[in-house]
Amino acid sequence: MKGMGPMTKAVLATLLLLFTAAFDAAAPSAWGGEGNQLDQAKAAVERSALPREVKVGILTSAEQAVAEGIPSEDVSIIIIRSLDRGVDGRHIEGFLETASKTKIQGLPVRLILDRTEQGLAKGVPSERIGTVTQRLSEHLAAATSVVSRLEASGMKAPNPRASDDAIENVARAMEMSIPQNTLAKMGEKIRDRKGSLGLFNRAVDTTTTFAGSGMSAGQASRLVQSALDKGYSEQDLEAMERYMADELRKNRPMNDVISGMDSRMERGEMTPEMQMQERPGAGPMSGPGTGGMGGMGGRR
Amino acid sequence: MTDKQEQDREIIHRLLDDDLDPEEKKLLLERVEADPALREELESMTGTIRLIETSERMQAPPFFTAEVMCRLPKKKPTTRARIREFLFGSRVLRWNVATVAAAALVALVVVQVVRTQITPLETAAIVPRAQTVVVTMHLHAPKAHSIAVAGTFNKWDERSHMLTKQEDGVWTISIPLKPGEYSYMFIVDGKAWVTDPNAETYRDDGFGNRNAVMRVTT
Repeated sequence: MKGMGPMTKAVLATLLLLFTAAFDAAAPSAWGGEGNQLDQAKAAVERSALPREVKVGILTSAEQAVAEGIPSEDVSIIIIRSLDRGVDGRHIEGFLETASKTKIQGLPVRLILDRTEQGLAKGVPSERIGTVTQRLSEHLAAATSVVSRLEASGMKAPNPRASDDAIENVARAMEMSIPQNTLAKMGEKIRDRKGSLGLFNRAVDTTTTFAGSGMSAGQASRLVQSALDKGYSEQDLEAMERYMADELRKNRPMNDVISGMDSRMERGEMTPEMQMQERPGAGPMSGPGTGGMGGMGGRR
Repeated sequence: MTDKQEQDREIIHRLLDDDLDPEEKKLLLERVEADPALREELESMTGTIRLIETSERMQAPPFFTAEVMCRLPKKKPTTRARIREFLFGSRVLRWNVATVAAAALVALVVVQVVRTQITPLETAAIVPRAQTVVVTMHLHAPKAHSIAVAGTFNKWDERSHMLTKQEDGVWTISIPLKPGEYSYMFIVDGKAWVTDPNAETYRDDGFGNRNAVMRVTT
């Protein structure tokens, strides 16, 4: 600055300030844009009839969750929904801490948040939500090792989110008592055939869907394994799910559905195209149609 | 100029540089005294030195050296030398306050433009708004008083997406959704959570119930 006139110094100082202000405004702040949502939750906590120390505990857990990277929208929803349902402070703190711990471990936290928000919305008892989400967090940790091993051994992710999706799907499958080892072997089979993480995702999800619809874990994984052996694609596996949903809607017993799928696979009929022929107007991507007689829903 | 004159000039230079020993100096001064031409030469040089010493020192204009160097005739460089000069040659940045102010203004505008471009991406994910698909959901429930739909698309909010009743007892709602997979359930009369009986497929909700699943594609 030596040799500069006072005018020059003043102009340079102003420019420096302008730059600082501009970059500060442009940088995505940890609190930027999210303060309002968290403020609403804080106000709800303050308005509640909870004891002072419980309020402090919730607010501390909320701040910590946001600091760990949990979206403040989710923190706010969990707090406000919990207060609306009369959930006690200890459980609210527990929900937030489970999410924070999951995030700290570097695991995808979306499923934990979704399950907590969903459980609260559906009026599930808070103890149950706490148990389910803690268990889910453990499954996510185990699922991460399965997916990481597959990726490390050459399985390609079709998009940046596929890895997290796979971890979540494996965790949900384990939640349905599908053994970790079975899922890992399924992944290895797909990897050995140069299949992507996207196909693995679909295979795991289909297995979980089958198991969640009343099929045993063993039957579900066997069906998906044989579909993979026949070189089924993601769309083919989706078609299998739709077939099962359609058959169950017709009140067919699960054993009949399974044998029906087996024989259709043998005949090479378990494909989206075949289903379109059987369900006019209800193609594989058009959803279940407009609802049957007495049916209550659907999607156009 | 003769050899003799050349030698005399050399001796005068040494005198003026104070390089002569006393004997040489004495001899030279005797010769100067006797030789008018030599005396004139010495006086001329002495006068020049005095003139230079008494002259005011002038400040060279800014970038004098650079400008002089620029005007020097240039040797045509090889392509390799030109590339090396382009990559590694040092440059002198000329600046003034007006230029810096203009640059700052441009930087501010760029930062603001980048900021407006980045902010929506945080919430809009990867898919542009234009790629959303309007999904119509419907539920036949003629006796219901209110029906809402909640799912992963609205973080299970039971109040934000209310269905509208049609004359035939079918309740409908159209929701713009980005491509993806969504779990959902209907909430009838604000309390009963009902699984869509005609869903594409179903998924265990982790609490003992089944969520309907829809896959939205473009």
